[in-house]
Amino acid sequence: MRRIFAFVVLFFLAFVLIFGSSNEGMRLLSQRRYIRQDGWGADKFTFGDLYGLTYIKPFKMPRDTSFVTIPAHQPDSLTYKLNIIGDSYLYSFFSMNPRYFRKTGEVQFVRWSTPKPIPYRLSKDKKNILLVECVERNFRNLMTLQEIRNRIDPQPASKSEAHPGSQFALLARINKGIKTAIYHPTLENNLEFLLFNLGIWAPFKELKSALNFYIFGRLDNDVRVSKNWKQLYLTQTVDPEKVGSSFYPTSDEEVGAYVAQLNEVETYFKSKGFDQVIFSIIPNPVGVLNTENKPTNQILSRIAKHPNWKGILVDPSLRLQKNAKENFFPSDSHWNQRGAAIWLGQLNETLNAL
Amino acid sequence: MVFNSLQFLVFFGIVTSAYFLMAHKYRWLLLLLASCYFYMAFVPMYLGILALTIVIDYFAGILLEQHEGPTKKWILALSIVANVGVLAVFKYYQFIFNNISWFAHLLDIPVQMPVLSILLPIGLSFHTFQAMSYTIEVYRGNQKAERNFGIYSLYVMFYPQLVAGPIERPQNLIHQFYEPKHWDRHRVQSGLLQMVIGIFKKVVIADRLSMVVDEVYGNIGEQSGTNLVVAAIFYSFQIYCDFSGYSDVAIGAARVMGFRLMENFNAPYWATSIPEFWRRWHISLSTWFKDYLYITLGGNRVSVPRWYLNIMIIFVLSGLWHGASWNFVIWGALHGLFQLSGLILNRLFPFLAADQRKTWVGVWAYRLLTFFLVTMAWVFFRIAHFSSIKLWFSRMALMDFSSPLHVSMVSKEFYLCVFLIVGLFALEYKRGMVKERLETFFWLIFPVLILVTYFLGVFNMKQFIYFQF
Repeated sequence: MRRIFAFVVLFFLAFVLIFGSSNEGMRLLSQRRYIRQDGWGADKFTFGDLYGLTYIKPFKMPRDTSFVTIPAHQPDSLTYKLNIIGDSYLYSFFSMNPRYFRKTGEVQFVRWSTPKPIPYRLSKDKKNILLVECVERNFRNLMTLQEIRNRIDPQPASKSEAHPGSQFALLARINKGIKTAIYHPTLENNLEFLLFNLGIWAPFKELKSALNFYIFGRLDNDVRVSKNWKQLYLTQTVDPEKVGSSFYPTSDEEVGAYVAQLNEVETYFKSKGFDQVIFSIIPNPVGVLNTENKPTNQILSRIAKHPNWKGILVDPSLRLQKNAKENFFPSDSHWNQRGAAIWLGQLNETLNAL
Repeated sequence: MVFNSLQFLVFFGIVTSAYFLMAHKYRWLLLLLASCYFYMAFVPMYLGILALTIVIDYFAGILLEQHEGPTKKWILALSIVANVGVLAVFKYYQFIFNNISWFAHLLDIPVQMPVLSILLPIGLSFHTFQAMSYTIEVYRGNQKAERNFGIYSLYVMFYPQLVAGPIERPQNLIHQFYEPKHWDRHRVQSGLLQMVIGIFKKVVIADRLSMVVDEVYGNIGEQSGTNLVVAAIFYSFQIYCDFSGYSDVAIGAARVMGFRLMENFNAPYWATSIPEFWRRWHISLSTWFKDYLYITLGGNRVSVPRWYLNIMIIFVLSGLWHGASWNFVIWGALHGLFQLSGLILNRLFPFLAADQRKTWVGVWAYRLLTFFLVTMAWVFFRIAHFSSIKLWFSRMALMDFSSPLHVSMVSKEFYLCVFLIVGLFALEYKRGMVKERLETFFWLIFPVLILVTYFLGVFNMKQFIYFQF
C-alpha cells in the first residue's frame, strides 16, 4: 500500500514538474483552463488581472460586462502598411487585423514583451506607418529609440543580454544556458498555475485575501484600491513616488526631455523609410477615472502642447473621460472593449487625415 | 530553489517518494543527483567549485590516513589552504582588495588589483566548513577516510543542509548513508511536522516581522527611538525565525528520509548569559569553532590573557565567517567583548556571576540583559554601512521614546507580531514537551498548521537570510 502511495506521489509530481517545464504544455493547459467556467477552470485573470493579484471578492466580476463589438471597416483605398509596436491594451483580435484600421491593407504587430526581436518589413507599394503605442506608466522607459530598435529594427541597438564590463560574460552565458536547460525560467509561476490557478481554490484565496485586506489592511504590493473603493489600480500608476504614476511630479524640463526622446524616434524611423510615425500613449486608468480627488501630472497633454513637439500623438484621454467608468474594468489594469473602441476611433480619424 | 517555494515542494516530494521506492544500494546516487540538481537551481556553474573542493578533500582524506608525522600535517595544511583559498577568492577577495586599497590610499601608495565581479557561491561558508571538518576529523583519527567518492560527495552536498547547514560532522553523517532506512510512520510524521513548523517560522513570523524591520532600517534617518527599538527587537526574532526555520526544514526533510542531522538551535533567547546564548544559537557553527579552532588554540588551558585572546579570535573569525564586511567583524567582536566582560566581572564580583543567580528575578534580569546585548549586536549585523550605523546611534541618542510607533503596518498586525513572538518564546520554554504533544496529535496539528501557515503566511519568496553566507 505504501509503495502504491509512493508511486502515485512520484508520478503525479514528476508529471507536474515535466508539464511545468514545458512551454507547449503550459500553453495548451492555459487555453483549456481559461475556456472552462467551472471549478477546474483558471480563475486568476478570468475576473480581471488585478482581481487575479488580490482576490478581493467584491471585485470578482465578469470582465465582459461592457462588451462592445468593434465594427470592422470595409477595405477602402488600402494605402497603408501599419507597423505597430504596442502592449496588451491593444486586443489581439483587432491589433493584427487590417480591417479595423482605416486605409490599411497590411498590419504587422509586435508586442513590447516579445521575447525575440521581430524586424519590420517596409512595403514597396504602400505608405509605411509606424504606430508606437504604450500605456502611460511604461512610456518613459519603453518609448525610447533603443528600446524600439531592440524590438523591431533589423539592426538592434544593443543586445539586452550582453554583460558589458564583466570578465565572466562567457561563463555567465554558459551558466544561463545550463540553468535554462534544467530549470524553466518561469517554473515557479508555472507550478503555481498548474496546482493552484483553479476555481476550486478561489474560496481559500479570497478568505486569505479578506484576512489580509480587511484586518491587516494589506493588498498585493502591486495593487491599490481607489479612494471610492470601486476600482483597483496598479500601484505604479497611483503612487506619486513611482515614475509611471499619473501623480509623479514632472517638471517642464522632463517633459521637454520626453518630447526630445519621441522626436528622436520619429527622426530615426523616418530616415529608415517610414512615411509617418504615430505615437499613442494610453492614459493610466487613474488619470481618466478621477477617483483620487487630486490633480494628475497631465503628462500627455503637456507633451502634446510642448513647443518642440511636431509629431502626431493620439491621446484618447479626453474622449475616455466621458462616462469614464464605462470604459474600464474595475478589477483590471486595462480598459474594456468600449475604451479600446474609443481609442480605435480616434486613431482611425488620425489615419484618415494623413 | 528556496525551501519556501513550490519548486522545493515538488522536488522534495519526487526525491522522497523515489527514495523509498528505490533499493537501498542506489539511494545514495539518487540523493547525490538530487543534491546536484538542487544546488544548480542557484548558479549551475558553482557546482564546479563545489566539485573542486570535494575532489581535493576526498583525496586529502585518503592521504591523511596513509601518512603519519609531518607529512600528515602538511596534507592537512594543504587541504585547509585549498578550502580557505576558495573562500578567500570567492568571498573575501573584494573585501581584502578594498581594505588594501583604502590603506594604500592613506599612505599615498598606488595599488592596482583586478576587480572580480563574481557572485558569491550560495552556502559556500557552510559546505566549506563541513568539508574541512571531514579532513580534520580524519587527521585526528576520529573518522576513517571515505573511499566511496559518491558517498563523500553526498556528505558535502546532502541537499537539505547544503546551503545553510547545519554544518555536520562526518562521524554523525557519513555512516548514515550506509545504513538502510525503512519507512517509519512516526519518524516521517515527525519530520514533516518539523518542516511545516520551519516554514511557519519563516513565512508567518520572520517575513511578517521583516515588513517592519525593512521599513525602519530602510530609512533610519527619519525614525523615532521607539521605531528603532521595536525594529531592533523584531530583527532579533526575524533572524532567529528565519534561520531556525531553515534549519527545521532541513532537519525535518532529512528526518523524513531517515537521517538525523544535529539540532542547530535550542531556544537561544532563553539564555541567561552570552556563553549560554552561543551554546543555543547556531550550535553547529559554534561547536565547529570550539572543536576545531578554540581547542586547537589552547582553549582556556593557557594563560588568562591568552585565553581572552583566544576568545576574541574565535568571535572575530565567527563574524568574518558570516560576511566579508566590517559590520560582521564588529558584530563578532562585540560578542567576544561581551563574553570577556562577563568573565572579568565574574572574577571581580563572583556574587554577581550569572551562574550564581538563584531567584527568578535574578534569572530574568540576566535573561533580559543577555537579550539586550544580543539585540544591540544584531544592529551591526543588520546594517552594513557605517554611516547608517552612526545614524542609528545618533537617532537613539535623541532618546525619542515618547513618540508612538509609526510604521505602515496596522496595529492589528503589529499585535499579531507581538503575539507570535511571545507565543514562540513561551512554547520554546518546554520545546521538548511541545514537540512530543504536537507529534501525538499529528493528524490534527499537521493540517491545521498548513492552513494557518497559508492564511497567515507572507508569501513573497523572500530568501533565507543565511543563504548569503
